[in-house]
Amino acid sequence: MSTLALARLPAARLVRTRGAAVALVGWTVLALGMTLLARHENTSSVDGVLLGVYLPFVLPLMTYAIVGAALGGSGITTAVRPLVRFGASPRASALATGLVAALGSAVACALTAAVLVAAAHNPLDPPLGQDLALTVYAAALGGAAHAAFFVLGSAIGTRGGGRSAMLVINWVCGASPSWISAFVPYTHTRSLLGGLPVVTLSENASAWSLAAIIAVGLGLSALRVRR
Amino acid sequence: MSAAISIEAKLLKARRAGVDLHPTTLRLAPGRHALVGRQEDGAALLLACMAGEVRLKGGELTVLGGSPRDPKVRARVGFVPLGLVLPDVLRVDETLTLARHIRGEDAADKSVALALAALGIETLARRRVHTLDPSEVRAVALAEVLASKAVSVVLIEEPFATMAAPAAAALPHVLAAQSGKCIVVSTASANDASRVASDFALFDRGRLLRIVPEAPLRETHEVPRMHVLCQDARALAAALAKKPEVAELELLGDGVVVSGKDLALLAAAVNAAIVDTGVEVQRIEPEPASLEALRADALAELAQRTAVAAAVGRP
Repeated sequence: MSTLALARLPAARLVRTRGAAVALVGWTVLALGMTLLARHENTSSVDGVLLGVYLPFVLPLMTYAIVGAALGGSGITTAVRPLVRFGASPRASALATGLVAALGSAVACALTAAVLVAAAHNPLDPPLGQDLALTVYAAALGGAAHAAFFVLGSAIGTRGGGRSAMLVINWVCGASPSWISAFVPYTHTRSLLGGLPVVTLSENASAWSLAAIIAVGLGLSALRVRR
Repeated sequence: MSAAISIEAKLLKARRAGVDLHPTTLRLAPGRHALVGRQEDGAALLLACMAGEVRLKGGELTVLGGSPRDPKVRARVGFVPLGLVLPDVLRVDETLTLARHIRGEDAADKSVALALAALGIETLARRRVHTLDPSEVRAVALAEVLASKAVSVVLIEEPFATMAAPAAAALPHVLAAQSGKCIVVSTASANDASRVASDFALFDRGRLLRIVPEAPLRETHEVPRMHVLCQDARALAAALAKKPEVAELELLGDGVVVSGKDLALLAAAVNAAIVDTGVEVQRIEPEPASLEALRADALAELAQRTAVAAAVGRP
């Protein structure tokens, strides 16, 4: 039995259901509309779009929807039950499901961020190619970390209601200036996208922190799945 | 544990949704077995324990020599409960291929298509699982389990309830053709049990009353009963109601169950009623005793044994 076989079900949920596609298209169109409006009024800038619209709303809400789609709208224990019935390891199935959600979120967030950067770019911004590369990297890492954070939430509560709680925690703790903000992906993604750093952490440290959130989120969610 | 024993329960205790299973000891070898009892009697609970779906409150349970919650054991156990969930976004053929991958089998094998055909549901192969009704989902799951060479233990809850009609019709023959597997069904119907199993474990309010082979189950009841499967059951029931040889009559969805004091007279009355009404009869089969009658027999036997034991032990 391979991880690829276990990833097939969550991948099919992502591709064949509307949840993920509606979130991707809907949030991209909304953010693009706001960006073009700002550009029309000569107030557009890459930083303004990424930190004012993309980071607080588009990235977390799109990732939230993608994780929900990969899990079939349920908690992670319920999501992997059809695979466990055939003899798959519950933990390996949960890990494969989490990886698919994280990968799907990374790709969707990177694509949306790239579209927004290209649309918002003005002559005062750094060269487009360099800006695109840095933004895509930060958005992909931030998207995957948000997904892992929400997957961990989906392992809490009988129906995975912890996912919604994690969305609120991400926003509330992300707005805090204290060390507690270092435990949510929002602040580290903000730092990588050129916003305020997390307390005294460097951008490099924030990148490692996002990687740690991915590993811990996916690992803990797999461990929490009942055998 | 003997290598021939597939499932062994020693003083097993479990609890789910207000149903208690009292210490139960049972050994099942390859063959066809039925756990007979209603939901509150614990037969379905014991089946769920065997599938690793319920944690034990006490005692031991080994399935194929290991814990039923071990993924290696689960890959060799096929469980078809009521309210089954299959991967909803995949097609039926994709689901069956995925199951074979997970069970470590050759996905290109034709046995899945053959199993679908054997159960008369081959037309479902290209449909998405979420478009199937619950009876079709159960039939697909059954086909998957029966097609798998890795599966050595097949557990089916209420084999004829919520089961696609072609699969339900083919089920007794398909299960009889499975050799070397331990097939366990849980059911509240003695009739359903007698159609698929060769021995019966009778449960009453969480207790295993006794294990009986097939022949006594069909013969122990004192009042002869017959199940007439026919098209116009209502007309036949009306005709039978007028026959003095018929003591009791029960109208079912697929026919009529009649009982009388004398089997020969009852058969003659049924024959006359069929001729009178002209209904098209599919089959006439002896009806096993009802669950209540079986339970009463078992409890009476238990009481007798207890009385004998008490008398022997008396100074």
